[in-house]
Amino acid sequence: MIEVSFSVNGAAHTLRVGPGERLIDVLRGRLGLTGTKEGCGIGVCGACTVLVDGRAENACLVPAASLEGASVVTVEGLSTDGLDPLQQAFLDHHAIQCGFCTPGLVMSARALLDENPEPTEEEIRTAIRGNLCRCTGYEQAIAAIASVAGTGARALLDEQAGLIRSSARLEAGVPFARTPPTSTPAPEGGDAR
Amino acid sequence: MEQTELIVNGETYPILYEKTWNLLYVLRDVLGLTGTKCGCGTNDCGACRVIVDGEAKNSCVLMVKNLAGKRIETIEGLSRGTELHPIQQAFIDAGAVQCGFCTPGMIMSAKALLDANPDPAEEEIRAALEPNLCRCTGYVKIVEAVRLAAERMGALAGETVGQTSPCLSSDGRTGSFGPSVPGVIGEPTPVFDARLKVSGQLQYVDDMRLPGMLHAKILLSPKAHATIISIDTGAAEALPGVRAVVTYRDAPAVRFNGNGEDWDILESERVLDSRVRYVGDKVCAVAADTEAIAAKALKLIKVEYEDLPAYFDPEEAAKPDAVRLHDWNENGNILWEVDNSFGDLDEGFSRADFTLEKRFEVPAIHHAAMETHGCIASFDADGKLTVWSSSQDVFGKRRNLAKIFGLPYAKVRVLAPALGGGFGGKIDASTEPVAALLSLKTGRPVKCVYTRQEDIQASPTRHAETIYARAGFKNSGELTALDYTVYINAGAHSGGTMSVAWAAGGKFFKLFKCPNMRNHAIPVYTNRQNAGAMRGFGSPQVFWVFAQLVREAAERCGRDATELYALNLHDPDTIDQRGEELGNFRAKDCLARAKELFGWDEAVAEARASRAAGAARRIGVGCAVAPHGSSLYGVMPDTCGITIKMNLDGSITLFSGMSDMGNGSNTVQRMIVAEVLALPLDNIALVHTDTELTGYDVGIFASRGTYVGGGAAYQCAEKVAAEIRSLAAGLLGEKAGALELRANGVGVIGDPGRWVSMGEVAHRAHELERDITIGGNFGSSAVPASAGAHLVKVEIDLETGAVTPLVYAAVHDVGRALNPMGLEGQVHGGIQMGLGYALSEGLELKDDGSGALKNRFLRDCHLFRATDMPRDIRVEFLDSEEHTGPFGAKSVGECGMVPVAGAVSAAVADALGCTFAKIPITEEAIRCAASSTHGS
Repeated sequence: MIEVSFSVNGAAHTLRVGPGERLIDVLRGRLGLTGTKEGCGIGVCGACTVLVDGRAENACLVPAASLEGASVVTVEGLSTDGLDPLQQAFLDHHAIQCGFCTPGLVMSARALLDENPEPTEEEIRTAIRGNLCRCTGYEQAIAAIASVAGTGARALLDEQAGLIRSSARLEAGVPFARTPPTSTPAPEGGDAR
Repeated sequence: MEQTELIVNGETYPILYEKTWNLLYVLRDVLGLTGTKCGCGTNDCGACRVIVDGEAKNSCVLMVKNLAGKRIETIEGLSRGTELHPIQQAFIDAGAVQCGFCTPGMIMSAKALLDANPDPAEEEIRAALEPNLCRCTGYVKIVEAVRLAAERMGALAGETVGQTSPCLSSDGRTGSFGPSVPGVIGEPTPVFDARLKVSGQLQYVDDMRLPGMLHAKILLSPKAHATIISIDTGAAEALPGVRAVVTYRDAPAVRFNGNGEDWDILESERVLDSRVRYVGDKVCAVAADTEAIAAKALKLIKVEYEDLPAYFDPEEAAKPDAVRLHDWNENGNILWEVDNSFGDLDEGFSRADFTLEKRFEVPAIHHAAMETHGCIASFDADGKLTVWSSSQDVFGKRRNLAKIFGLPYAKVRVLAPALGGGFGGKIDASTEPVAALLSLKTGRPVKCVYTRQEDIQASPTRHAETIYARAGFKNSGELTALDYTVYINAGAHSGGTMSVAWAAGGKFFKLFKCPNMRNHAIPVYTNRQNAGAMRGFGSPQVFWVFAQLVREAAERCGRDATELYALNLHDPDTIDQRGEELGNFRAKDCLARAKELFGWDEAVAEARASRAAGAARRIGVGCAVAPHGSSLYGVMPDTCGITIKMNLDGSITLFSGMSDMGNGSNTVQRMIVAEVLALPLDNIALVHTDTELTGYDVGIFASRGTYVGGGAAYQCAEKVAAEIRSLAAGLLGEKAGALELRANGVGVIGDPGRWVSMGEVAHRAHELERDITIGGNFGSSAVPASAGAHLVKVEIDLETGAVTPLVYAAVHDVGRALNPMGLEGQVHGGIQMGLGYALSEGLELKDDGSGALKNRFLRDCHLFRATDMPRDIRVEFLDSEEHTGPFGAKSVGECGMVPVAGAVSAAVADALGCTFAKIPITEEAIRCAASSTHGS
């Protein structure tokens, strides 16, 4: 056991940690910060991505004993005063389905934008390359990230806006819609053609 | 930090600890063994008892540094899975479990005793349980449970006892089926969650931990009445680990009535206010990483106050020139006067042969539920507030929280996972609004659980009252007139005070048929802590006064007090003076049966002889009769919503909005559903007390559990039964009317061979693309009065003033007794609470005018312990029927407590030949009375 002092979301902690203990164990097990998810435990899925001294890291690969002096930010640290614009963008762009990869994706994106406020689409894709998502196909997540970035990825947003418009149209015509379509009824007595 | 190794339940744990940590903290907060409970933290209650090297000890006072190498046993070590220790099983079977909060500690005391002494006598059992306080059971069934465990352990010599009853298999065909339905109504039935309670597995609020949870402490006012000039929170905010500090500047301006009733009346409270109105009022609050940091932060907060005049006596506060506690109140410090009268008082008094006129005083009481008030509040990223609260009224709390934070009800969810006792004290909002405010500020879940010292000074009490009573009697003992004016000490805020004034003013008329009566109530704000609902809801005060008047009048008439009662009691099926129907109110029959059960005439003779002989150890006998309504009908709409959902195997889930504080309300609901649907109890899962999942319920108070909650369960189950018969009719090719529900299925009446199982019925519904999910609701349309007649014999040591209650008999009319074991437990607990009310409890202010309580610790509340209780307690229920209640039942929860203090005080008065004007009757008061009436 060794004693390490580090901060999590701005709060200082001094803990005695064991040799096999990982950052994710400390976060989830000892500090009760369960927003960071464990999807694989071998650094492949990115669900446990957190910021360590500003860099996105898989918390499952960081030995707790290596944390002396480190500053860790988890998804809980993003929303201390309302939602982070990135989190709001994920909501607005429907970038969330099951939500399990979301905290990791958001943290990867946060690290990217902190370092590069105006990434291109390719840079966004590269930044979240380590985050697996089985629900969304990444499109809406990339659009969400682009929406809070500078102008570099605007084209994507336009494309996304088109998608939203098409889904709004769909809603107006669904069988359970409360208000019936307002189009002119077909003339009586048969074939409208 | 220091390092040590603890041996807990046979396992060794390396522990890093601070020198100040006690064992209770390490068990609960480090090892997560939350079966051991904290009821006081000051060595007074025994809830945290564990066994250390064979000896039962309170873990709150054991320092970790002294425990290396010692063998520690906790409640978790006694059971494995469904296999319970014989003591645990005996606690269930004997009905020794109600709220369950004291249970683990009780069981550990019992285990240490039985390990050392396998065949203890009753006195040895009581002595072993003496450190353990229980507020529910009166200890009667706990002592029986220990005896039962000793017998079984002796007989079985170590074999495990206790099995769960067999459940249906998935096809629903298993289990007996036939004409003999094993009914549960009328059978002694343990509380539904007894197994979780005896094993320490039931999670009370303080046992829960949420991710990222902070701990809150509230700074309680040291001032009785003052304006806050300034609050300096800078040093507290700078303390590492402090995440938020809130003061009145952060609190919404909304005012509310903490009672959370249907309508908005006298909204005097704010989450945090710029003015404090009693010692213990909330000043500001801190949320921090640990409770210790939050407590440390409170000490760094500097508050400047400007004192205002403080009133502790309602008559003083009611004077027109008194400073108003609430500026908006046009009535000065009076809430609303209530004046109910009937007949002609002047005529009544002119007809009287003699008149008794007295001033009486009754004290405020700490409810002393073994679990203190507490909650966890969590505002999530959806802006939704979820509150887990030890609450008797989750829907009322939702109402207040929605109002305070401006949220739709759909964004506020209040759940009561478990209640470690309530007795009326857990209706009003307590820590919830403050915890919610801190959660709003931090975005994290916040737990706020009062310590016992905080709970004593900051939670609601029974109303202290000053009563002016005048009663006219004929020499026959007939009551001709009764004039009753009561100053009700509401404390600083409105809470349930008006409801108490209205309800007690109504119950006043439900006992005696006296034609000329007046009840005039003057509820007054004072600078004492809030008073609110407590078991009996204003009645124990009224019927305590009645019992003293009747005793003295009987002495004047040269008659027996029971005769005076019998002469004046209402008859069954009458309408009282205010026009309320009493239902099948059998007070007279209760009294007659209680006299037989008690051996009243012999006891009276013994008391007379003892008084005549001038014995230094004097015998006294006392009697009191009291009514109590079932439900709130007449005061406000009283409904309970129930949903029943049948699973594909024919078992069901019952959703009930009603809380269960250990009183057995959910247990009775489950029994009623089992009876109507002919299902075993184990096939009925229960989801309870969750504003999001369950139907609306008014709250668990007003003796409405069996009558209204049971009524709702009955009506809903009947609807399900009709649906089941209709589906089975299709399967059996019969008309639904030709079918009956039998054990686990439906069969043709008179044809035992033709039947289908519940599972087959559920499958049939599924094939038809239907679901058996049915909601029901019961709204009461009557408030039938139950009755209790209590007789007690006490022995008084005139030299010391000590009172020993010897024999106690209580006979109640509860309609049909649905769960005799639960009913007995309610009455036993009422007796414990009433004995304390009469003889030892009562919150008193310091003499220095500060408004602070003398009663700082739980030990200063002087609750009756197992060793203080009468050894001979006899409880019976009349065989009667209330036609408006489920299976003919009405409720008992409060009635069991209402007559107790009246009877006990009358017994003490009987021994000394003088009426006491004040409770508790202290040893000093008795010594004083004995010296002035010596030899009389």
